[in-house]
Amino acid sequence: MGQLAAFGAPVTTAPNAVMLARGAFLARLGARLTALGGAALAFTLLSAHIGTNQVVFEGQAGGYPVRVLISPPGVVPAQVPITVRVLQGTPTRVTVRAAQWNVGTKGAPPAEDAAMVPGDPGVWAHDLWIMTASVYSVYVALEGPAGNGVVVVPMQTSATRTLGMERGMGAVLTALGLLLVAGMLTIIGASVREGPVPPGQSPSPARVRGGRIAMASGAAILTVALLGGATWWNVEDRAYQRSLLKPIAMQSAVRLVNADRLLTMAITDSLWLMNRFGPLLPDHGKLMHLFLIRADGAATESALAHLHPLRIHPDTFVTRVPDLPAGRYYLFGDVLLQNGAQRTLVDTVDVPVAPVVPGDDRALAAVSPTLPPFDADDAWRAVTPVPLGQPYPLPLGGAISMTPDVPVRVERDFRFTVTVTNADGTAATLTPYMGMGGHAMVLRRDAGVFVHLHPMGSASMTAQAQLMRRERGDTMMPDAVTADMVMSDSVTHTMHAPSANSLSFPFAFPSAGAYRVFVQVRRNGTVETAAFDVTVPEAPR
Amino acid sequence: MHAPAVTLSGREQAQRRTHASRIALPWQLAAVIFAATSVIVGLIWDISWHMTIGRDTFWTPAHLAIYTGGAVAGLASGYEVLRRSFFSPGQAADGVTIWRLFRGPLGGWLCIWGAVAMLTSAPFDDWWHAAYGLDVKIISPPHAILALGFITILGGALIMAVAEQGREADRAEADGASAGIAPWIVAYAGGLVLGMLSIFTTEYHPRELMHRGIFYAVSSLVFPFALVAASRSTRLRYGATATALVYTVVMCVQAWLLPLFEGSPKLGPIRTAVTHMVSLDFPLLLLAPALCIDLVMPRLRARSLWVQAMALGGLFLVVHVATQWPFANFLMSDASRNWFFNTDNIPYMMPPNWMRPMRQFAEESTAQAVRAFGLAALLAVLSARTGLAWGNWLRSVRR
Repeated sequence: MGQLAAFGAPVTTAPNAVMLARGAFLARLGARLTALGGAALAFTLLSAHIGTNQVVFEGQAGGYPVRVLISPPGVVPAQVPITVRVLQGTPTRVTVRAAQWNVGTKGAPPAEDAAMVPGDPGVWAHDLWIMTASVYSVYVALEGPAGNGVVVVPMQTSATRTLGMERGMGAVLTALGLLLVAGMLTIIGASVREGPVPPGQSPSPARVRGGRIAMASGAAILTVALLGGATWWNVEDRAYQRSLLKPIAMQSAVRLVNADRLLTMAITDSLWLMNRFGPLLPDHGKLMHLFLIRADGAATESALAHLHPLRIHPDTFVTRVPDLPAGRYYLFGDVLLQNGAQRTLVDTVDVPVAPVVPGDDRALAAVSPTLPPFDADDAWRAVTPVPLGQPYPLPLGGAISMTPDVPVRVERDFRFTVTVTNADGTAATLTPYMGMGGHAMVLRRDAGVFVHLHPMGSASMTAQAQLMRRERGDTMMPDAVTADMVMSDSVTHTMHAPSANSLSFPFAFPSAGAYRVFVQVRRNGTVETAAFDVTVPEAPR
Repeated sequence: MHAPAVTLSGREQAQRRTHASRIALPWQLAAVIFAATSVIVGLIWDISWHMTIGRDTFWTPAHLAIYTGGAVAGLASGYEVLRRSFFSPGQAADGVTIWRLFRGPLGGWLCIWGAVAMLTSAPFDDWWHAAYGLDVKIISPPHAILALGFITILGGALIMAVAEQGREADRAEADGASAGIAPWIVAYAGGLVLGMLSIFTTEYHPRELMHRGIFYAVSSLVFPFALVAASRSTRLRYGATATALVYTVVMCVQAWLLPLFEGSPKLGPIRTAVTHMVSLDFPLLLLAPALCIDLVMPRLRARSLWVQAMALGGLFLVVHVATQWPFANFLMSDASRNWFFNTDNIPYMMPPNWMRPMRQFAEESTAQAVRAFGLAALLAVLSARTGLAWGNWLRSVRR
């Protein structure tokens, strides 16, 4: 499958557009303007979740329930805005602090005070300076009469975007640049022509000629300098492009092996093969959460599979393909790295009407009889999305409703409230699904954004636990962590277990566009899936 | 800037008044010298800030010092240009003419250019940070434009000083007045320029490189130029020495003063605990080659410029290696860990197992050393030759 081919125009065009511009320094400014046409931001990539490094987290800091929104700007180093919405009570002080995963708070600067945001009661904000592309624990500490406390939110930072130059700015810089070039040439000429002439005397014709020669030589030198500057800019730009976070390279395909339809995901990324990503950590007890989401077909129809592939080889994951409508699917495979970084494998894959790839893979053939049947937590469903706010009718009766607690807006944190009813209209009793009250998957329809949400937000609780373990100086080997993680998962997740028939997901849309939100809950032992469509308007200027 | 006069005859007084109206105003020279000082102070302060605190805003005192320098130099020179061009009609030409309309001192024009360059770098830098991140490296294209701006201001201050020095010398010759303080101002401005050159090459001049050829190659690229030009342009017997002395004092003062102030990192990851402002290094021993250049220069006058360049460049390299190499041993030893030599200046982001905190020299093979020192010798001669040309021209400037 052509990786990323279907992942939206910005992915492939923005870096190339930037690379287009060549030539002299000033010409370069102009070329950039033309190439980018004053475009502001173009999100190019792709990280923990796709298209955003944004983290939303809800938790309890002492006596205060808080919602933390962290919005890394997609460039490193940078100032990262941290917003803390106190959901109940009035703290007297809110501080934030970021500790890089491998140095902890010992190597972190002191906590900094957040300030109340005028006009938005209960909201505190502060920008943290982050110098490296890495994984951080963000410590949000609240003090007040209800009791002091801290929440730790995992954050990852990486360069994910390229920035064009606005027309006005380009014009101003071009004008100033021309003024500087003209001014310097004039000064060079004047200094040779008149510099050594005693006051009151006129320069000799020889000096006038010398001044002209000096200006010509100066022009040649300046041209070389400007070309050098343009080359330098190109080099810096290329280095930045290289530092952009890229998805882990992978090849996926659906094959027929021993009459089973198997999806194989073979990681081909050389960094992975050199073991540079380190061991994977299980998140909710699974090494990978794989989402297949219908990419083609009618706009009003979709299908979602939430699967948990088996890692049959350090580089290869395999899962059975459930009975999904034939068609093209986006593939998102969420994995968690040892340092707490969440990475998502991305691809598109065709689920055929009938298996078309012959099962000639002997290694797979040997494995397939041992492949377990579907995991009890695997779930899939063809869905007909409804507009956000309307109840989604369930095939077994009853409905799932999902409503935002405030009108949705770009980068505004809010809470999706989900309620589930039975066929008779009574409130359904939900049971945890992989330790969580529910799962929500947010997809921008062009696949430019994909986020996997839980009732505590988009941060991984396993990453959080791992960062805190490290902070305590834990030296447990990653392999040994595995069992412990599975245990701790179920413990930590109980605090986010659903109450009766409802649950909620904190979130903030990272960009405008048409989104589709999938929700999965477990009712009467069955995983139910609903899908809602919502359009997030452009932020008002 | 004028020679002190005890009694003046009426004719002399008239002559002096004529001079005063015709010649660059001393207040303006004072203004650009102040601006140059402010830039250097700000630059040193800013680097120390980034080694200690890490995080800054537009409004740090270090930035304000740099921008104050730019503003004072630009405004003072701009005012002078407007005054001479439009409000002092009928006067003899005493500046240089730009675009057939504006007249002003040559150094003033450079200061204006530098201020505009600094102004240009601000929005460019802002965009650069948004596009490629806050500075990972000190030297980026917008910072290069900023640096070009304040280099030009320092150059402008130097040229304004040499112009005053030249006119003063002409007056002394014409009416027998004694030499003024202009040569000392030239030495001071030259010392600031030397300081700036040393700061710009600081990445290649850490202690741990002092036993490697690259260190001396970089020294040979910049210092013979500056010292030979100083010796040639300053109307002092020991011009290069005086210039190197200014550099030495400035760098000593920052090494002694900055660690007196508390400061700690506001940026992670912190690899080395820092409690006080981290200063730049103790100055290089440039006084020694400077003194030798001053001593030898007069004996070479009759020779061609290239012969002079070979002698002075070679002399610089030999004396520089002979002094700095053994001094580096001392700097690496625990004996230098005191307020005077201040070799515990480790930036917060430096892991403790790097060479600097470990007090170890970087080494190289003999072949590498031979290549590097060969390059150093070549660069020293070319640098000295350029310094001679530049120094001669500076000495001739009158406007």
